Amino acid sequence: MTPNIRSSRIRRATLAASALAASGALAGNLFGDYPSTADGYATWDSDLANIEGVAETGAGVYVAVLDTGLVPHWRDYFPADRVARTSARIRAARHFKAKKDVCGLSVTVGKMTESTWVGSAGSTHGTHVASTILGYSYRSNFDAINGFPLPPIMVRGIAPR
Amino acid sequence: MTIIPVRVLTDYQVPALPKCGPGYAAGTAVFGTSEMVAAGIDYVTDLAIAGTARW
Repeated sequence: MTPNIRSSRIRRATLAASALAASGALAGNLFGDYPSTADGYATWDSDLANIEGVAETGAGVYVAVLDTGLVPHWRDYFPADRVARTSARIRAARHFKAKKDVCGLSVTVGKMTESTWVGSAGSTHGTHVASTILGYSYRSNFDAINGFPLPPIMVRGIAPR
Repeated sequence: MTIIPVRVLTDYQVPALPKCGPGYAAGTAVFGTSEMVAAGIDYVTDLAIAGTARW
């Protein structure tokens, strides 16, 4: 997890900690009942969207996130039934070759392929974007193993249902 | 609401660029191309046309 994403998660998770304790709503829908800004535990993105005034919850909607995919341990953050598991990984071979350009580098593109999505072991940006939409659990074993705080926190997303 | 993750950006190892400007050390970069993003849009468009039958 990159430092920016980690610090963002910790900041938002800290803000929402008391909200979790008050709601006690870990059973059933993991994200639907979590407060946003109504009682002062704001996440900046939900506050920016003025989410208390939005009637739509995202129920029945599919949201395609064209990004870096999700990290292999995404189940630590999201309910399994909220993620389509047969999504695609669009790949294209890249070959970096020294050329006569000013940087001594150019890129050639190989054949594009599509395969079943199996998760990304690199950038976590796609996971970050998905968490903004769906909300997320901070009870990540992966984070705990890496020494990060592990408070039992759920953070509401923009489209939690 | 259901997330459909489509991976169109990928991690790359970029070699050192000693002749580029002041010179750059080897590093990593995350990027995709217009073709990859377009292929991802085609993919999810096909899903939408087919309904939810594919997942």
